Amino acid sequence: MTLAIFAIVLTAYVAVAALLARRIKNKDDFYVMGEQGSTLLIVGTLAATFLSAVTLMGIAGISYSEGPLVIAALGSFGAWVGTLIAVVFIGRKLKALNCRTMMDFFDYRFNNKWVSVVALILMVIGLLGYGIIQLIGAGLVLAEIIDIPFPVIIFAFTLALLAFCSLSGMYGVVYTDTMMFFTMLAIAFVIAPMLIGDAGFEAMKGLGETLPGFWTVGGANDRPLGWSISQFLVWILFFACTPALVSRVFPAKNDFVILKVAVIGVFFAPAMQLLVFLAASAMQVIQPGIEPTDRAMIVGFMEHTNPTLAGIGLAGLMASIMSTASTLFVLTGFALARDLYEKLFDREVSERKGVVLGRISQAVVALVVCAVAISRPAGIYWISIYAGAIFAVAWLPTIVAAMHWRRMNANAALACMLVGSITFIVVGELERHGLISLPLHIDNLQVAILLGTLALIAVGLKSQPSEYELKVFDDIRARRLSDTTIRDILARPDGARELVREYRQVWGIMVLFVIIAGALWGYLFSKLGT
Amino acid sequence: MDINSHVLLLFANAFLTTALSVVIVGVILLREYRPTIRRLKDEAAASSSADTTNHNKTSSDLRDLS
Repeated sequence: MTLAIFAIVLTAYVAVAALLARRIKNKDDFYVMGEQGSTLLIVGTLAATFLSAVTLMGIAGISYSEGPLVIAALGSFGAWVGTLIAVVFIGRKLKALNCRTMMDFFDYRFNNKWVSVVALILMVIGLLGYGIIQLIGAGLVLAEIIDIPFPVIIFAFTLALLAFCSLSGMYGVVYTDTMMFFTMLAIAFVIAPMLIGDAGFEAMKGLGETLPGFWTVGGANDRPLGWSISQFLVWILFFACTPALVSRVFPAKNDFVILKVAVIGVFFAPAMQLLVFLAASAMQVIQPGIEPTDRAMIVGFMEHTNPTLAGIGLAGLMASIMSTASTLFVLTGFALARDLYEKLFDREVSERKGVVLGRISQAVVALVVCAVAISRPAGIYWISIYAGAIFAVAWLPTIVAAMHWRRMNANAALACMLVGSITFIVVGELERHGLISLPLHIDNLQVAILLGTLALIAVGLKSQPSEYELKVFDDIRARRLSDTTIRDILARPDGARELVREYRQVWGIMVLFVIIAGALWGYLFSKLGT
Repeated sequence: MDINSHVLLLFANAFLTTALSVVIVGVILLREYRPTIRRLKDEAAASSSADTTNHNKTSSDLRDLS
């Protein structure tokens, strides 16, 4: 049965991607869906990209063994707020500047080949490193569940990813992400409540007696508060500017879609995660002693629900892997085709050739991913230690300063990216090999961000921005996505009425989701916190 | 009633996430959209009072804005 589900799910995604291929008429269609993304599609792609196998396995495993608050109370809170920052403050501004990729912003802001090269290298390493390691980790688990050799799983996944990234670009990614979002919703709102119901709230609260500390932020292993605070910092800084999340808003139809996504999509981040973490904790009541602990949720839906839900759970696990991987890999393909070939090598490319190039680069990425994931070189594990957070240490201070500091210039950007990323890796390695030890609650990420930012400020103060950089800064400050949206809507027949309707709809959604959030979290608190 | 402050922190942060998103979006709507909405309503009101005897379809539609 598991094999059948695996095959059906992958086939469904490929079929959808094949159908969508006919919509690709030009580069804008390929890179940003022609900016036709509705609220449902952008919520779907954002939430699906946010929820990865890390939630369903790694953090769920910690919730099972140590308690659901250990990561969720502060670390995950950082991820939720980071997602909000990525959507509203960074993604929205980049879309106002007509960016198709985050690299477009670096190119426009600095017009400097060295800044673009360094930013591009960091992005490719960060995306591929983070994506491949997730694919490997989850692929190993799936191979065990479905009883298929690991290389076959990886090959099947990368074929599917190749199909929907290469055939239909961002259309394929966004539509399949939204399909995946619904399977994840089933895990969070059907399977998880069933497991919680089976365990019972009283028995779950009772875990605080059998596993002292289970219902504390420190957890059953009594982790120090400083560690939890550093987790908050890691996740908020990483998620705030990771291209995987920022780029989710580029296909949006207009600003109203993004504002609605900021409320709805950002609600689903904690909603889906917390219900999964609580269900994982419930598994400690239902079946203590699961090893390794990151299988807790998988055991839950495979062995403690009916076959239909088990199948949905498996599809949801696959979705959590593929949704994040597809976004990461499609962005890498875009970087090769558009940011490297077209822009850095200065090649004029027609619309048709641009789409072909985009497809070829997706195929190259798929081949590389497949080969590396199957061969599992030791180096990939080393890269993955640093890959994800590279955006936090190198990109975030650069992007924030680029948007808000008039003195920001190419030299300061280079200084920040190089000092940040090198410090992160060097300090991390020195600590890993026991050559240095950092003060309690300080980690290499904090050191790297601090030094990278100091380098940015020092170089920014010492050097002058060019006339171009000053002009662009003023343009960036002046441009607002709301102005474009208002102008476009008012240009339509009956535009005034439509504008007022959209405005009121966003207010309505805000009120609705405050009520839903209050009811959901209030109910769970009354059951578990009193 | 004994309250677990750690669990309270967890669910308070979950609620705070939605609250923050609502506040931020609310500020954006008020700063960037409300001036235009107000202007459109004022124009509609001015247009409809100038055309009280002339049953102009456009002005009667825009009256709906208020």
